[in-house]
Amino acid sequence: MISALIIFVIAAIVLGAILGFASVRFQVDENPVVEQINAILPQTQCGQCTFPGCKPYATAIVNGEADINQCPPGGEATIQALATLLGLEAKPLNPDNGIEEKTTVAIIDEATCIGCTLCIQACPVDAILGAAKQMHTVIASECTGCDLCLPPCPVDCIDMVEVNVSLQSWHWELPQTTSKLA
Amino acid sequence: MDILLREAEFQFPGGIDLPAMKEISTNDRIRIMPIPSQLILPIKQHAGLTAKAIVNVGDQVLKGQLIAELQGEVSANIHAPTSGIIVSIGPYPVPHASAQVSDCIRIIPDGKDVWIERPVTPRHYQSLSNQEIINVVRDYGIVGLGGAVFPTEAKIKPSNNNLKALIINGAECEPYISCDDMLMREYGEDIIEGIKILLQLTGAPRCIFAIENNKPTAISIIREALRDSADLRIELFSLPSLYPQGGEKQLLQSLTNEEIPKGKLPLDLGYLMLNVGTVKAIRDAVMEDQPLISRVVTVTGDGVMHPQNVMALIGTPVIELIDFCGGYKSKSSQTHQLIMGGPLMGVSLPSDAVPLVKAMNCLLVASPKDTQPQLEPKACIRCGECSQVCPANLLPQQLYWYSKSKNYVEAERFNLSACIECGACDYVCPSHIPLVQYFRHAKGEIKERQEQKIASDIARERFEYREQRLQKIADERAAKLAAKKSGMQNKTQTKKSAIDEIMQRAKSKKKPEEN
Repeated sequence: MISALIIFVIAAIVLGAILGFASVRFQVDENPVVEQINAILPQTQCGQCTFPGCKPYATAIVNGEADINQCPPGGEATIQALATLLGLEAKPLNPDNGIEEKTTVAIIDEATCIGCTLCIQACPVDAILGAAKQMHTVIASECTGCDLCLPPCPVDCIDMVEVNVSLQSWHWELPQTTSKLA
Repeated sequence: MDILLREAEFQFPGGIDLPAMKEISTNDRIRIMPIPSQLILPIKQHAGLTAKAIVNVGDQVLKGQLIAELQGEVSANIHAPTSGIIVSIGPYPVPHASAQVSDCIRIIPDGKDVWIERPVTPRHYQSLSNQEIINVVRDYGIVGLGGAVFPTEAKIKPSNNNLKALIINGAECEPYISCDDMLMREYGEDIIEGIKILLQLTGAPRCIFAIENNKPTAISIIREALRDSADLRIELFSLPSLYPQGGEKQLLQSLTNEEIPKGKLPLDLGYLMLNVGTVKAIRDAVMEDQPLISRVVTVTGDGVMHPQNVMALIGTPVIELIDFCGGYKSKSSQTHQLIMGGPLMGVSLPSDAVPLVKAMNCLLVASPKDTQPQLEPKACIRCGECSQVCPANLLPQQLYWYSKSKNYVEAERFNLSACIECGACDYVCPSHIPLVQYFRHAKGEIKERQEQKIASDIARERFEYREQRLQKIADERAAKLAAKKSGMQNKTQTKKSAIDEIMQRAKSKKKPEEN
């Protein structure tokens, strides 16, 4: 009787120590779903979802503070992917957050730019190149079209232009039919 | 010695029997078209990366001169088809399903047709090394002339020693098109010579020359040429005429009963497959130092006066090509439709201002007689005809539901990417549903989303790096500030203690006086 008790107490202490160690050693800092949602979001960091970036929005979705239809740059495709991931019903984009627009890139009018570096500080993906009192330019391939560089510019020299469809990026449209059945 | 004509033993699944409509363009020999009034050369005529123009407006160019250089691994050079002056480099309508404009180099010919300097003596391929042959194919802008315009260099470069066979595709299964047929009839010996070059290059033990049995003249001419060449490595196969027999996966299955897995190429199974036109182009490049500056194109359909095959310079405007064939039958432009390629896989052309490109095997000037009227699509009645005819063993009906509802994950699960877009399902659909267009749209969307995913991953990396950097700067600043503060404190403290010390000393000095 006593020996059994001792054995079990020792076993409990040993296993408890292992579990305790494991919980510290293999601690998960974040909810893994946040990462999964963040991977789906378009990473424009534009804040149109009312949260200060893509990851905060992902966290808000997990905490139930935000709906899945608040990301205009991602649009329908993102909503659908989120719905599939979270097992929810897809719904149309919330118009309060904006509308799904064509992808754009920023272009700096180099003649007007005064080299104030404010846009460089605003760009979330370091896609603007320049230095104080030097002309700035946008690295078009890295620009996500988030519009965040527009408000700080004191001389209004940044324009958002639509990305032209090239022969390489073009693809077929859905068939146009008047009949609703097909 | 007699050359055996064997029949293909196997058959791919599905397929449809179509009226050949080839006889209307095979009455005359291939006619060589004189130099047109202008040449328009799109810098993107091939699969892969767009070439880069290396000439300027106003430059004088010679026939065969390189005017646009290939970029990266999969791309192709473009050469001036005749001598003349570059008049513009910029956007121009091109033959593409998007009806978009794309950068083109426009040349006004000077009529002298002066060649760029070439080696004087004719070459012997036997004395060339493999690398030399591959270089010739790359430098002279050779691409697959069957319609896919895949740069040939990329196909022949990984020539491994375990190639099972070289397959020459002379099936030409789509109705109306007869350029390969005519090429085999008139240039049989050249094609055989091209095959020998390729056999030397690849070291393949055998070559299968496959022709559909609705081209008896071409078969007998090739047979004759084979008899003369006495090369036992080359075997001639005839195939039943069944659309899409000429698709590379279907042809391989008919000949060897081997199925190409999804996402793989014949090369992965040890087969190098080339179109007869490509073989002829390789032969001309190697033996005659001729870049790919012209091709045979079938100008056909009920809308053109004299349907025939024409050897024309790449860049020839389509309107001049049609005028060379007697012009339009009807003067009003409403009655005909221009299609590049055949009636099933071809794409509509926006106007007749577009040029002849390397991909254009056929120019179909279709009158209402040639095309089925585009009927209003009706609801799918789930008859299953589409899956009966699908040569890739797919379920077009399922793919249709998923493509239409934009459920691309499911569409991919039903192997949407294995669809070869042959149009057999469209043809048999009793509800006239444009199935292939749904599939093309879905494929495009999937590709676009993949690209967006890559772009957003890069953006996230850059964003996180920036956050880290800003955090680091903020931390450093805070640390500096703290150091400064504590330094100040120390300083004041030392000062204070020094004062205290002096005060104490003063006090202690005073004290004895008091005593």
